[in-house]
Amino acid sequence: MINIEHVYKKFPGVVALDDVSIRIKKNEIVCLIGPSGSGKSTLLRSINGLEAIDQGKIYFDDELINADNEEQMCRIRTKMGFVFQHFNLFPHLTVMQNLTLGPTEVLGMSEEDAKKEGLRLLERVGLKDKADQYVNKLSGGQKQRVAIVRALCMKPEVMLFDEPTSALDPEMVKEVLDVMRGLAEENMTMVIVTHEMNFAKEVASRIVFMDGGKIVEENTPEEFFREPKEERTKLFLSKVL
Amino acid sequence: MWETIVRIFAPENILFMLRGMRISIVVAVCATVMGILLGIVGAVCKMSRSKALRVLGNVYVEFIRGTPMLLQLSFFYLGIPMLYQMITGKYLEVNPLFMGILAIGINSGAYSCELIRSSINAIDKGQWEAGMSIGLTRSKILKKIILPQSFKRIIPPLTSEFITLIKDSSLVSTIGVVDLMKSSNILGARYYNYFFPMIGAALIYLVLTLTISKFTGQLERKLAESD
Repeated sequence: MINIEHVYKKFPGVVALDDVSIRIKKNEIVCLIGPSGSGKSTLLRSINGLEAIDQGKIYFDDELINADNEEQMCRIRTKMGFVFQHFNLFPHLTVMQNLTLGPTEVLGMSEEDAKKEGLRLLERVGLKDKADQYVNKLSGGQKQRVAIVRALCMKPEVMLFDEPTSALDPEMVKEVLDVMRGLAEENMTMVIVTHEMNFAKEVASRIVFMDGGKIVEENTPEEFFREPKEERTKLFLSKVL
Repeated sequence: MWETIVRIFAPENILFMLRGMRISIVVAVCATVMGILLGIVGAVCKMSRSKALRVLGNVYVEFIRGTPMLLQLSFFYLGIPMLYQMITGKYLEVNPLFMGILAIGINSGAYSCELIRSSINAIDKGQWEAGMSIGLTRSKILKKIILPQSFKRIIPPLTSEFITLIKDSSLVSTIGVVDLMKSSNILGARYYNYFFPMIGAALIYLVLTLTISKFTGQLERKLAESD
């Protein structure tokens, strides 16, 4: 579904992605883990065209992605839900307006249908009663659940999560991870950048460990956590587990 | 002295000054509205991905802000009819009020442009990215997400721009528009006393600007409440 080939990306002074290649298949859940600055978020953002890559190719459903082609990116992004670390909800809109903006403006759905779908999804994440509130009144965990629903309202084929729980108070992490577990059970294709090792171990079909802009190791979660092959991985795991 | 004051501030003279005030307000309001519209256009140009538009926006802002408003005003009133005459050989009669509003509006546009641009830039980059992530085009993100949010931040500086224009509108008195400033000058000449008419005009300007800034303060508090 997503095919990444020899991607390079440089920021001033750092190489964020250094010859990264990876394939993500339909219904797969790939967790990207690694130390800060290892390039995980950059990789995820490149998939959604939020970062333009310097070299290499990224394909979505066999279509080559060009981050500078607005028409193409708008079309492809409707198929990819993106969840940000800092939620990035629209503060001037209510929860429901946050949810219906994309479906009505981009997918051409009627206001009514978009609302119905929004309510259905809100109910699933336990926030139906918040539909008409402004988002600033919500807690961090609630905001992130709304942000996930906003992405789901576009009926995406894949969900990209950029450290969805890193900005949350500890007691709110679970409610967000539970929503993601629900998506995993429905076989949603997901790429998740996370520091939640137990969650990764539980839901991932594959773990990709990155460091210094390179993919150091990829494996099934069982293998990855039981017997990591690379020294760098062992060192990292010994620190975080 | 008392007699002079009574003569100068006779009811018909006060009415004359209030009519001048009305013109001053008309100039300031029209120029502010025009400035906001031009400011939006300028801001969009300056933030455009097209280099030509960015250059155009920059030239506009720098040129206007780098030259005196009085010169711009004279240019519109005297320079443009002259240019017309040089090209066509015909005389062009211009309305000083219209030209005054045009010149001040174009001037205000350059300042509003910067206000608008900085309030747009103050919106978190994440808002753009969130809009992009649900497939919105740049122009839709601007319209539906960024502008509604920057609107709130833009109101206070724009009202102070309006106050500035109430005062700067007095420049139109130099091209023959009988605004508040000019009306006090006329009265001064009529009674051989410029002192009291000027004090009178100053007080009226002060009432206008203080009223607006009081109103702005209330508006700001209201806007802050809904945050």
